[in-house]
Amino acid sequence: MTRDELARQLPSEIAPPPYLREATLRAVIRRRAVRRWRRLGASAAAIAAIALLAVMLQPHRKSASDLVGAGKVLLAEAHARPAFSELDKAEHDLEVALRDHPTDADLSTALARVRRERDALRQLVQQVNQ
Amino acid sequence: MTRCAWLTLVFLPVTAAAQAPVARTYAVASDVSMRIWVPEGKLRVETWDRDSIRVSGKVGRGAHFFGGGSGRSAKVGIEWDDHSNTVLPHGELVVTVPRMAHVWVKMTDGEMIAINTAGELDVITVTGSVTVQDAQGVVSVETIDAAVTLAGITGEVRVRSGGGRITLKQIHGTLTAATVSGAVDLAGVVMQDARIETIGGGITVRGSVAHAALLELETHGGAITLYVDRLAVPSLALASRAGAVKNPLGAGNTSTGKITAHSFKGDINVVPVSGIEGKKANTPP
Repeated sequence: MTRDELARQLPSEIAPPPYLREATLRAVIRRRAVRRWRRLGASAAAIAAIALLAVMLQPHRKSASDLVGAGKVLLAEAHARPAFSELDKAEHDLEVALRDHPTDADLSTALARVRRERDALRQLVQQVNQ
Repeated sequence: MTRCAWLTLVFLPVTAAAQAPVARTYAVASDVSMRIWVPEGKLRVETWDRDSIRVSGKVGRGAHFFGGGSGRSAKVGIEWDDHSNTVLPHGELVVTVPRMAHVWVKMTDGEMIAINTAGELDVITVTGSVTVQDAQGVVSVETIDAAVTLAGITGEVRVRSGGGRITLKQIHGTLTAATVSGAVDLAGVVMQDARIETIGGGITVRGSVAHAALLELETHGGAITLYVDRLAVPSLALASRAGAVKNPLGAGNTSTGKITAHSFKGDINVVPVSGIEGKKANTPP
C-alpha cells in the first residue's frame, strides 16, 4: 500500500478551533520560558556556590594592615620615607668628603649630626606608632 | 553630574547622622596634666581661667569619645568602637583647658590648633598641620611631615620635623628647630638664643637679633637666606664648604646681635633690606 492510498483511507485530520490552538501555543511558549529561566537560575546558583567555595577554601592572605593600628604605622613610615632618603644622601656626601679629608673635625661633627637626626626621626616614627 | 547629586542626597543624611556630638566637662586642678588623642580630624585647644576642662565637638561614625579626669590628671580622646579597625577614627574636638595646664597631644593626621596656652604644650603628629599661637611656657612640637606654624611664643620652643615646613613668627623665648627636608622660615625679632638645623631644607630669616642674642643656623644642603636691615647689621659669621656665600653687608656688629650660618653645600645669601621693609623686619611687636 502506497503512502497516498494510506492517506486516503485514514480519516481526515480535524483542525482544533483557533482559540484552543492559540491557548495551547501560549502554554507551550510559557512553559518553555519558565524552563529556560529555571535552567539559568540553577546555573547562576551553581556558579555562585562554586565561587563562594573557592573563596572560602582559599587561605586568608595576611597583610600589614590586618594589625590593629597598622594604618597609623604604614602612614608614619610612608611620610618619613623622603626624610630618610634625604638623610641617606647627606650621609653619603659626608662619607665621601671624609674619605678625602679623614681628619676634618667639622665633617665628623656634621656626619654625627646627620646620624643623630636619623635616630631622632626613627624614634619619632616609633613614638607615633605606640 | 546628576548621579553625583543623587549620591550626595542619598548619603548626606547618613553622614550627618554618623557624627555623634560630644559635650563633657571635668573639674580638675589649674595645673592639670592632660593627654588628648585625636587620631584623625581636627583639634582646637583653648585655655581659660577656670579649674575645669570642657570638651565639645563631634565624633565620626563607628568611633566614640572617651575621657575622664580629676585633680591633676585627665585624658580625653577618640577611639574605635571596634578595636580591630585598622583605619583612623575621626573626630573634631574643641578642648578648653586651664591656662597653666600641661597638655600632651597625639594626632596622626589632622589639623591641630592651640591658642593661649601658658603651661606646657607637647604635640606629636604624623601629618597635617600644627598651629600654636600666643603661647607662653614650653611649646614642643614633633612631627613627621606636618606643616608647623608657631606665632607669638614667649618661652621655650622646641620643634622637630622630618619633612614639614616650619614657620616661626615672633618667637621671644629660646628656640631649637630641627628639620630634615622641610624648610624653616623665621620672622621677627630673635630675643634669646636660637638654633635652627636642617639637612636639605632651606632656612630663611626675615628679622633681627636682639643685643647679646645668638642665632645659629646650620644646614647640609639647604640654602640659607638672611634678609638683614642695612642700618642694623648683626655680627655675621657665614661659611659654606661647597656652596657660595654672598654677603654685601660685611661682618656686622655684635651690638645688634650675632648670626652664625654654616652649610656643607647650600648657598648662603645675605639680602640687604632698608626703608619700610627693613623697619618692618626689625620692629618688635
